[in-house]
Amino acid sequence: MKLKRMVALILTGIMLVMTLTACSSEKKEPATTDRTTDTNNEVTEPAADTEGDTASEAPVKVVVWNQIFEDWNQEFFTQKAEEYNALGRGYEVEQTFIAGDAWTERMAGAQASGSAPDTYVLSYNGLVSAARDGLIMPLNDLLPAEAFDDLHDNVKEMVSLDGKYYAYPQLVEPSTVLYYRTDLFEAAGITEAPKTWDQLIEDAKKLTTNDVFGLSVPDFPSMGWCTWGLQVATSGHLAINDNWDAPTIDQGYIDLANFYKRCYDEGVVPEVALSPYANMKDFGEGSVAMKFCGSWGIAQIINEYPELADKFAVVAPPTKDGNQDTTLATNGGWTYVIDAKSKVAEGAADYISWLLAEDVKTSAEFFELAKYAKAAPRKSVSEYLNANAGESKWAEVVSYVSSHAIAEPIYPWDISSSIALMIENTSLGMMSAEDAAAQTTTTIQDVINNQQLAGKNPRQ
Amino acid sequence: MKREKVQKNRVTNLDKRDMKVAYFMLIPAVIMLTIFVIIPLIVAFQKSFYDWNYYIESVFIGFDNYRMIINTIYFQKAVINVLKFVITIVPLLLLLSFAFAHVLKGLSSKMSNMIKTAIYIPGIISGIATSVIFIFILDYKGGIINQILMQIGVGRIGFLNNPFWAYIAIILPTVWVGLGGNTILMYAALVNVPPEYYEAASVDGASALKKMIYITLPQMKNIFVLMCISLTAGTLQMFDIPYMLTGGGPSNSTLTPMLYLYNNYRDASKGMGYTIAGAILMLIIIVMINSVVFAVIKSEKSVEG
Repeated sequence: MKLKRMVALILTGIMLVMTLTACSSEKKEPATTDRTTDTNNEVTEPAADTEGDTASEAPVKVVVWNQIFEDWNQEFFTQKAEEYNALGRGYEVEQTFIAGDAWTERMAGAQASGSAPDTYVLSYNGLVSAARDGLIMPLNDLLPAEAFDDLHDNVKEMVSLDGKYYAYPQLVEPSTVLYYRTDLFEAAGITEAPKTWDQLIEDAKKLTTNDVFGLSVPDFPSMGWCTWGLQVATSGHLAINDNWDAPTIDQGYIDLANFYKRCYDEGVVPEVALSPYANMKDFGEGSVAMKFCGSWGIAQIINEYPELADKFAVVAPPTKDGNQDTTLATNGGWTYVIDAKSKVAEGAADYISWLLAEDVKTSAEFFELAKYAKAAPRKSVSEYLNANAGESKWAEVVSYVSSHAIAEPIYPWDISSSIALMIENTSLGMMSAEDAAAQTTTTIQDVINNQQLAGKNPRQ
Repeated sequence: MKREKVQKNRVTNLDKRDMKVAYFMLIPAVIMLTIFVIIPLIVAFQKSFYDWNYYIESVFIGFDNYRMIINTIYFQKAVINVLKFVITIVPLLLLLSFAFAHVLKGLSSKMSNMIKTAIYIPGIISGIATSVIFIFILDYKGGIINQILMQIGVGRIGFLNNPFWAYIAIILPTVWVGLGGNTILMYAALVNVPPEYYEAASVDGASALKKMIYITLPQMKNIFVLMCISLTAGTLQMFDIPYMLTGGGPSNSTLTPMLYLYNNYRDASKGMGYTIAGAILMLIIIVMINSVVFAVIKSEKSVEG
């Protein structure tokens, strides 16, 4: 019996120790390689090993979180961080790239545990809620006024709230342009890019074969955001009024839903999207002849499908009546913000300033690598690009659509997803566009009431 | 009789020593449960009453989070969807695993072991991997089924873009994954039914159906209860397969509460308290449904127990 008790005691002791060890274990070994990729699709570019330096000489570490976009994008920012660190401005950047899918979880966890990065990228439409929730700090006192004076007026508005700037913009890109294959157009005898929805569907019919669909429209969940521009183009307004107290679903929205339904009914679009809206894979692999996507798709085609580089063109998205001197898209893109709890806000601001707001050439280099598929938020960079840009057949279109684009709405996502559901219900023939519109009006009103949105538009 | 009962209830010194050891050995499990389940649950319950923010002071808002989530039509739709899944998947899995267990019992030992292994393999694959396998099968462009349909001249079917097919597309992998483990459980219960009962019934001239109704099913009552509870709780928490295969679509027809809560967690415009309130609500729903299952089946200890 004594032996039994002894064994039990020893086993229990071991389990207790293991439990407590598991709860408190910490990785203490430094990264042994220059670049490490962990299981969370994260790539870390550590700051140079400063072990051995005296405390007074060691630069202050600034933690930067960036998102994983295209390979060239990651290489650019990796290189820039290295260049910055080599300058010896008193701060050293440790940059981590995190996959978009894992971003929210990682950031929420870091914010909850007080280990959020000093600076990170944030999309324009996330700024207002982040500022309102106190997650990010105003930059007015951290960056020179001239840096903000250099921004285009519409971009200034996109990064500000209540007279304060909460972010410094990296880029602006229109969320919707139309891509088409010039070789397939030629083969089908189509001589001009479509400007109206009717022309678009007619062209798509001519281009549709057993192997190729004429057109790729957004997958249904993406309809919530990538149709913002078309919603305004068709109806003249977004889905709720400026006071955020009533839905504004009208005939324009019904027409928009019916346009997508026609695309499905005519069999010119795949019944299930072959790739997500933001990804040009279906177009690049030759599965579709035309595709709606953001301007970022240009760089993706050139880099990932170089055989198509001379076989595609980009135009402004067709509208219901062919009027292209109207709102055509939304301007989205990415900014750098500083965490409200950062202890090295000056260092974070110094890096942002060096990266985005100082030397025009540093910023211009990014847009050159992006094949001019993105627009510069700074006036001086735009002027530089206009004067020095290499030959780019897309820069003009991107610039045109961007100038006819509005800022992304900042109302709750539930409202946008209601519009996506309306288009989906109509397109799949689950209900008429009129019934779907009526249902959406009720749904949005419920969202307004439920989330008590009336009068809470921060930009009102 | 009374003396016998007193003796039975009397705790001997030996029992006391064993109990001390038992309690001592429970300590690690209790610590783990406290740290990872009980404390988070209490904190979550508290946070569900707040407009909770990591950076600014949280504001007590009473039942507002609960009111909001109960009134959200997407959450309501998600709860209805998952209840539909429960009433389809749970009986289907019970029936199939019961049938498979019977087949296994009738097979030779060698063949039975081989089949047990074969049907158990899907059970060790994660829901995510299973979904990927079914994407290969159901994909609109490159899926095996659509390739076959194209070869025989029938057009492609958008399995994941049609509410009916999407529903089936969720059920199939869920059943495929769950069948092995549940069949093994059923089989274990089935072989434990004393063969004397069947022999006695045979002597009395009972048919196979009567043997099943009057011997097999009552003897396996506890395993049915266990499976009903675990399958119902598991189905109510469905997440990975709908997330991977349909993303909750089309038209939210396969949206489950867990998927909805996950999407809200990613929606910065909503407070964390809202998502936590939804999770607590789901906890309450799961407990309530399982209580109903218990009540309906009226579980009792097995005869042998």
